[in-house]
Amino acid sequence: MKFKNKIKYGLINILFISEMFYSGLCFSLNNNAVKDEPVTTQQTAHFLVTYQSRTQPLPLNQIHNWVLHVDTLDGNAVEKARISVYGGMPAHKHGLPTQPAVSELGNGDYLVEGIKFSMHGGWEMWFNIRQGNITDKVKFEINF
Amino acid sequence: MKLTIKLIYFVIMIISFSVEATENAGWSKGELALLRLQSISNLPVLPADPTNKYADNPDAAKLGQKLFFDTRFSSNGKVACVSCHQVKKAFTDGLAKSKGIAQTSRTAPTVIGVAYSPWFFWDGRSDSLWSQALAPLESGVEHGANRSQIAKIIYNDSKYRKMYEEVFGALPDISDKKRFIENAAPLGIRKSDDDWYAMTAVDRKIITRIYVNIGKAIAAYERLLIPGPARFDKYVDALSKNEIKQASTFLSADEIAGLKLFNGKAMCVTCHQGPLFTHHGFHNTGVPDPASIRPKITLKFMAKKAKPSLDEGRFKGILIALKSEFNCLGEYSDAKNEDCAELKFANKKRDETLGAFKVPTLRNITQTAPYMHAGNLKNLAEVLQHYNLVPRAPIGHTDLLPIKLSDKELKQVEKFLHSLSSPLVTAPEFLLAPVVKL
Repeated sequence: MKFKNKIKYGLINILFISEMFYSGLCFSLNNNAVKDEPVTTQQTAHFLVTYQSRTQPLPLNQIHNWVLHVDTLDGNAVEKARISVYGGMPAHKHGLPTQPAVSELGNGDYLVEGIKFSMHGGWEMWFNIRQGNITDKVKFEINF
Repeated sequence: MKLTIKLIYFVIMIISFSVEATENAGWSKGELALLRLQSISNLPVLPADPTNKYADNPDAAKLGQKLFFDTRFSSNGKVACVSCHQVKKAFTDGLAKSKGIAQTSRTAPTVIGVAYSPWFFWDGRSDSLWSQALAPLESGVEHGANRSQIAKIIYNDSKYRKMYEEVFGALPDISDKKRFIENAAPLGIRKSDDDWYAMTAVDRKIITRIYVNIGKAIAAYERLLIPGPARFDKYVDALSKNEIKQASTFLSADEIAGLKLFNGKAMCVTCHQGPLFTHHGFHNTGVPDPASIRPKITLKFMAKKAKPSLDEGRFKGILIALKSEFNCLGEYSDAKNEDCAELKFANKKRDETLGAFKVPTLRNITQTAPYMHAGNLKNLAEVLQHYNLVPRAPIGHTDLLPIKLSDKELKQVEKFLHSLSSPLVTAPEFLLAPVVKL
């Protein structure tokens, strides 16, 4: 390939990649609901954790509640666990705008009240789960 | 390069541009969808205020309007809500530090569209519009009035009394001066506090209830102050109808470029989102605090003495809201426990709230200088420069990322902000001191 052509197709490539990136950015901002269907189940060293929002789809800038379900890896519901929650936007170095509270519902279900994602971008939700001598943590990523 | 490779590139380019097809005046589908969300046409119906059952009562709003413009509810008879929330300045006062009876520590924010917010004041120390309206009345640097004085004006003025009773029912008899002591109120001032606690608990509640209802009437009035369509909204609405030529009459090329930066590279839209250009939350934007600026030459003994008191913002604000007798969960609120999620789950963590202040609306921003909670940035150019450079926060840590715009781009964003000014949709008779006929 001639040097001139290399330059030409290189430029086309850059244009294409930046175009795709830009379209992704715009799409992420184009509505008030969550961008992609987030992964709602995560496996940790000790637990299988699933969350379900009681408001669907995940809303932007609105306080809502989740139900967190915790199983052991062999499928038994985890009861009487002590669960704490924190989260935020790592890119902006700030936490959640609210301080959610966790209470046990039974059968491995835990109610997480007071969640709010106030702005577009990438959010993380972390749960520390302690049952007996076992402590584990799980992260969910949400992108508005 | 073989023909096939050339063809592949050609096809990729076609696909690429069809994904991002610039269908309307250079905007892609995704960008247009975002613009529609920002248009005032997309402003939802004003949410109900469960803490105030009179919030949408038209007679309460008329009473609130009269109160808003009346200087009698102050210690010197010269200060009203409108003193700092002037109609001609988009309900602000143009001062870096607003002035009532004395100078306050912050600039007065606009009241336009504020009813959409769950938090009030720059630090969110009130969780309802009515409880916000009450605080300046008893502030020593704002109105300098007190609840007993306010209740007595309502009781003794036949016009006020009639308007009050039409909304809230019969006023209790507070004419007994021994029972209802003049100027008694819990202000943290010895004389007024002593008088206040000399009254029975029942009588204190009678006075406080009248005072609370005054706040609820002012809130009902302020709920009417809603922004109308600006040039930006007309531009978006024309684009939405595919009226490209018409749209181009509303915004200049520079303003459109500024809008693209606002929603794109500068990422202003992350916090200044939606039709009111705010997500109503709190952020530490590292605004220089005048208290942090020490004199250049400081003698040792002076340095020890001069401990600057930095504005802690939301960190202090939420603690005040939680303790307030007028919060969502308090006895004067009409809300049920489940209506108070914002208060119950508010973030109180020091490292996340220290130095954070409420994200203001950008509607009518050109009329509300000076800027930021401390009013220390004189114009929009200074504000944008602040976001470009991101100085170190004087307290806590900044949430900002540098937007890194060129001088030309900064100017374009500034120009775009000029397109957000508009008249209110509020009926004109609500924008001046009312004439009350009885």
